[in-house]
Amino acid sequence: MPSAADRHPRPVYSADYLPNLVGIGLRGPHYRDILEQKPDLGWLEVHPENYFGGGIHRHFLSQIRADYEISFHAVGMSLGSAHGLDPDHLHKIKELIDIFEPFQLSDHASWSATGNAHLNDLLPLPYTQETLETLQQNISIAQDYFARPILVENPSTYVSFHADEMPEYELLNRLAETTGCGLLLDCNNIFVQAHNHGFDPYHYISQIKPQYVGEIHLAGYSERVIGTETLLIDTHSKRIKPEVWELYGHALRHIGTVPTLIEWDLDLPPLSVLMEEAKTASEIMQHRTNTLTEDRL
Amino acid sequence: MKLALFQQHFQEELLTPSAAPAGGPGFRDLCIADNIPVSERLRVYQDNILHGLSAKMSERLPVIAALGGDDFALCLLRQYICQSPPQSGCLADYGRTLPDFIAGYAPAAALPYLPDLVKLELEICAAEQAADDLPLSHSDLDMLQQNAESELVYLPLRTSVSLLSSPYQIYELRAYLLSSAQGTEVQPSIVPSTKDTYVLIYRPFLKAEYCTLSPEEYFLLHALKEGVCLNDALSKVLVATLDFDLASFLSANLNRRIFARAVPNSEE
Repeated sequence: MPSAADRHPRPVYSADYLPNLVGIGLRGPHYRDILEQKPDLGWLEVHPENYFGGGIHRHFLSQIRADYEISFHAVGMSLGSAHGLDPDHLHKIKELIDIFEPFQLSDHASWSATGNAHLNDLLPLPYTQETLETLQQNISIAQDYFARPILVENPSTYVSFHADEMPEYELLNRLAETTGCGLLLDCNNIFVQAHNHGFDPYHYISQIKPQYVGEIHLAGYSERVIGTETLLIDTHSKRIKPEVWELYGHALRHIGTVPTLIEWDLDLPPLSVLMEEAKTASEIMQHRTNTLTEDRL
Repeated sequence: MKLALFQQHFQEELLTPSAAPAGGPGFRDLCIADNIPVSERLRVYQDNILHGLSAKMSERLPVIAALGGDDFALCLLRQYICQSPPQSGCLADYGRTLPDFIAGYAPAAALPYLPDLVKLELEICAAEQAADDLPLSHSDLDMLQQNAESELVYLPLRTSVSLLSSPYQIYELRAYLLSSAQGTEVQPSIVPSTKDTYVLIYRPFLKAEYCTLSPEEYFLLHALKEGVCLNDALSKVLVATLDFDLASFLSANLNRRIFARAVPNSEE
């Protein structure tokens, strides 16, 4: 039997990859603006969990899909769950894939579900051999079910564990290598984690194997002051911080240009603010492309 | 520690923060401590789960805060989440057991109509998210009645349709509580009546609506929803009342788009 990596060969994320552009997260309050203004965006991202069932959200997504490429960024598969995946959840996502044909499908290297509850958060995993095997198994099951490779995102975390046996970047590289999944590199999450756990975010990115990365996420974080210390929280509720833009530039130099998403979920601003952030990302991406062209000349 | 046990302990830590698993280390001992206490680090997840979900539910179920205030709503919902956390990643379905929880929740004892009001809210939310099945039209019904033996006409209801009965005036109470004119209107009675209120919740297009029904309409629709054929359902209603106007009933509910158009059987 072919290996998981052979069953779902990873797409080649070359510079001429179709939606090699900047996209934004599509959220309910912006439906009408998107339809009326038809802003110049490479693509839109949605959480498929918001479109299970029918009604007004699916109605608007159908209309918007006529004008834009979309990606599915799942938040509920619980790829790191020791109890396996929920077949009903997979079925609902597959149904949406068949209707909306997203160019990308992703979820996180985290867990949410035990055998008796599904918590509404992306919870951290101890980075052990058992966790690696659990993720490998669940990712392979998901990819077999969807008959396509998925991208797996590095989460934001606020605790780390004595049981950790490897750094997160090693776990992600090994997942991509053994299952054929791609990686979704969230620069904001790397920055947040680096601050919260005290490591170098530039070193983290330099250890990621570029050929595995199929998408980058950017978002804004919040700060929680605790005594004399500060914990960074991945709230997706602010503009992208200058240090995360810097890290994004570094990521592009290491990886090359890949589709990039501006995420904003809480305290959603007008669409124009997301467009400004998308424009900044496009400019950094363009600068990277120009530099690469000059180097080749 | 095996991953399954680790995740179980983590869940207990988040939903019952004071819990220390018997016979093993407390979950916090598994976390790396530094200048920021582990409890503060775990609080980020507790906030995300408890505050995030209770805020979302409070938004979906505004009658709770409208009756008891924001603090009452958040406290009630947080306790409910800890006791009955979501069972799937589809949060739109979450909360089905909330009315029963409220019925046994001591601080809500003075609000005996709240469980039924929350049931109504939950059905409205469910209707908003229900599958996009097709409604039966007037001409579809004509064709159905011509093609089938009259006693074998089945009128299944669309997935967005639900029915509720309550001894409280839940239709008027919800409208009053969520009205911007609250305080200037006459408050509906909150005393249980000897006659139940019957409510139909449905989604004709993209937005859910609800209305009151007569007892006959309610029982007829209830029977249709249970899969009873029209003739048998009607005969039960006619036992109670002889002047039931079937034509008006069908016309009104076809206009509400509550009957489902049958999906053709691919084997036929």
